[in-house]
Amino acid sequence: VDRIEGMTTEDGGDVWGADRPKRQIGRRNPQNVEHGGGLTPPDDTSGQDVAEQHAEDPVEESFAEIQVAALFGVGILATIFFLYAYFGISIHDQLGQYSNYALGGSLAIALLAIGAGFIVWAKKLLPHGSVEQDRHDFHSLPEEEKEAEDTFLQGVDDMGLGRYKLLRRTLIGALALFPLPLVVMLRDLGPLPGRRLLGDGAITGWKKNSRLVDLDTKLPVKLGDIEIGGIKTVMPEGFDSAEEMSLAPTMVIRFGPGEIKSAKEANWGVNDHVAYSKICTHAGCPISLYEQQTHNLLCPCHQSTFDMSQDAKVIFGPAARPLPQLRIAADKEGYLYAVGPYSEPVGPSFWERR
Amino acid sequence: MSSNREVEKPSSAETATRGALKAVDDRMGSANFLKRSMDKVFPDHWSFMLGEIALYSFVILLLTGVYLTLFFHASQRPVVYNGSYQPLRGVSMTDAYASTLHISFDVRGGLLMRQIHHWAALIFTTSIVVHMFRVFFTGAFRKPRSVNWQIGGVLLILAILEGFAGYSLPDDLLSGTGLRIAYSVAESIPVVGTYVVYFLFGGDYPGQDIISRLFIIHVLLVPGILLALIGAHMMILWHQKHTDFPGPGKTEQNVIGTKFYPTFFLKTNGFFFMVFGVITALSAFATINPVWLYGPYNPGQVSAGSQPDWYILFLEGSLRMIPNWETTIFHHTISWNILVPGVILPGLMFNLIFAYPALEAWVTKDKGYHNLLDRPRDVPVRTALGVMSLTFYMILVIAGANDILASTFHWSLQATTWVLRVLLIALPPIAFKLTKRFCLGLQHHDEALLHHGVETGIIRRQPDGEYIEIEADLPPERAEVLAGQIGYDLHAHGAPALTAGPNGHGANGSSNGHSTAASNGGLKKPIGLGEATRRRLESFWTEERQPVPDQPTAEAHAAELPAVESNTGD
Repeated sequence: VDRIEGMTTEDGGDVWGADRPKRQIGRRNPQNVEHGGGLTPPDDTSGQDVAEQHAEDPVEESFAEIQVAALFGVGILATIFFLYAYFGISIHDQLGQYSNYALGGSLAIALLAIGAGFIVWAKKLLPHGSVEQDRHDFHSLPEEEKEAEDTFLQGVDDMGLGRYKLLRRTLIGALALFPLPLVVMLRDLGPLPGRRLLGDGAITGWKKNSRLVDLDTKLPVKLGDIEIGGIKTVMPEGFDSAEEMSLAPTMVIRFGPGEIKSAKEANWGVNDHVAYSKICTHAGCPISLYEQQTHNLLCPCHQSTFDMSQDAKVIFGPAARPLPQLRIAADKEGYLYAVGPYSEPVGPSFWERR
Repeated sequence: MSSNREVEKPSSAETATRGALKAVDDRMGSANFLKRSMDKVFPDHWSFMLGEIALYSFVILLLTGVYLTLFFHASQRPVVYNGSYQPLRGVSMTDAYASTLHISFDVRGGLLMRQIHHWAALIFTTSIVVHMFRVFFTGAFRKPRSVNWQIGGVLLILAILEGFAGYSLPDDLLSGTGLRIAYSVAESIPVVGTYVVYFLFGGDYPGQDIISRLFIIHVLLVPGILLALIGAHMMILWHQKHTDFPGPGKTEQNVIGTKFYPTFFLKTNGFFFMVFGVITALSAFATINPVWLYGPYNPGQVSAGSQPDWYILFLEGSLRMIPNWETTIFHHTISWNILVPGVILPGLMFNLIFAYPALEAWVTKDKGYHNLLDRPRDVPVRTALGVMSLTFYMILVIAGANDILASTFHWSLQATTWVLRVLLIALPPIAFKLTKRFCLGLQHHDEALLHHGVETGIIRRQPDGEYIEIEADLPPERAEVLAGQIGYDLHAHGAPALTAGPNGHGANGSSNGHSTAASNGGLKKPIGLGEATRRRLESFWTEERQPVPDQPTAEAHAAELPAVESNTGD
């Protein structure tokens, strides 16, 4: 039962752990109030709440009432304005900005005024002073604890969990197995990643002889479309599915003569045009920031940096692997096409990747 | 007043209220509970409102979230936008993104609701974190509240997941990039990662299913668990009663404060409206997550400077700081460069949060109940550990915006990253050391105040010609409070016979120095490696707290201040 009485000045005992220091705590001096709440000196109290003081001055009290009422009144007015704004202000002016200001502003004023009203009410019109209450010792009495333990163990004994070995073992088996259907039924959430695991580059959407088309215009890209030092994002011709959209993005970079340092890279390209996967090998962001002078390609997500003139070697950042290169060639009219799909999985590494 | 009431007939309102309460009690037996609840005493301190902010932002999230579900289409079906936002008219996008545009531009108050929802989510996560720091630094997580601390940790994790799921729903370019990274993080998990993401996303990223699955996770699964755990959190708080800072009259066995009803009830109601009002004002005048500017998600695009909401930023930072580690063993690849920052690090961080109360109790052998809070300075190692973790966390958060930093201050991006990598390793230990020093310094200051009082600025010349400054006693109330506060002392835990408990050293802090000798005494019995480690940690926990050495002037003014005479001369 809660105790409400005058404050004690001394720590009462060991209920809260014998290893707590005994503590002598003084009474609060009214001039020395630290926390809000204004603890009243305990000497004034005997029995009931430490203090029950309403605003004693009737003038002050009615002034306080007017203050609170004014705040609630502001709440009423602001809410009415909200309703006017909802019906009266078009949401299509200035992209709804006016509407948002008016609705949000009036709602905010209404809420803040009501909130302030509650707080002024509590602070000025309600009894001040603090109350002391006992903390319950919420661990049970030792004999109650023992009774509970006994009852529990008696139940275990009655059920015979210790005696019936066969029952116990089959019970454990049954309980361990029955959630399995619930887990197994999640199987159809998605396909198995089979082709991806095998590193089949075709799942990116790039096939033998896929033409390179511009991501935005969807027009085939041919030699000369890209200026020296330029870069273009391309997709396999005829791409449509969202999955392809996520693995297929490829960029074609056109170097100046002799800028490609790697023979393999040059061989896999055509006329200083080379194609690389745009999907970062770190976390899969599409890489987009190319620096013409240094041939560095920077991933905007985590700043992995690749030297595109040297087989997309990683020169900075968290990516561990170079970007996969797509082997391309040009047909008679100069249109670029893929000689084959990617020869390794694009994007981040995963467990099954070799 | 009361005499008037006896004469007058009770008002009809009073009769009706009594009737209603009785009717409820007849059916529920609720009167006793109601009475006790209304009389419940809550201590007053500004820092106890942090948890309230979290609670009220959650309520606001529920209110606005329900409204938003009425208009949002959780579907990746491609549509062509035809709404009133001109720049995107005729653009092909998913229904999720189109309906978000519809809410923003064609539903009156829809933008306001979206922005309140987003701001409330930011304030929800922020207040949880700040609240947890309050609980940590004041030791409020100690027994009996360790379970509630762990529930709080789960709430934090769920809040982060919920926030991430929520801002992924509009399927804009920014959120799509976040989802792409989340896909890669899950994919990096050894053995099962590839399968996990294929099942979660229904195939290769982005698939057709993720938005509708995230939607149900965001509006039903996680909020349901959040609601249940918040309920448990509050009920445990209610049952165990709130902690309080030490102060006059406050003991381990009492609560001093305001009754729940009516004072605290009115105040906390007012506070709910204030929190709601502030969030609404932000939403009216400060744009948040303008998805219409980002455009619909397109896997081929990404924008530079894409930062997630702040509570994900530490993961983004760790993903940016990690060196490019990857190992291939037995034809299998482990991508440490994404597994460590995306899975292992947050796993470690949250498990440390869960384990901390038990770890500290194990080291200090403190199994007692604690209702009075510690001041951070009085437990230097805990405070230093907290600041150390906070430093580590903050550097990760800053690292999540290293590109913004580099471009704002025209620094080299590589140099910025390297400096942050070094700081991430070097700063936390420095922060630990500094904080510990700072705490011990503050303790010294407190003890000096008790020993020597306050400097008055009055210089007196002694008969022998020596000049001394007169020091005045602390006011007795202040001295007693201070003594009570620094009297909390963990040194004595080192004694092998722990039944003795800490001997509060009161005003003079002289108990240190004995603990080492005492634990050496206990070494006669052979101890295991675990216990030896524990003792080493414990002496680290308690070391360095020194009594204030007597100053040369002490003798001179000791005669004037017999009440606070020091006995630390040993």
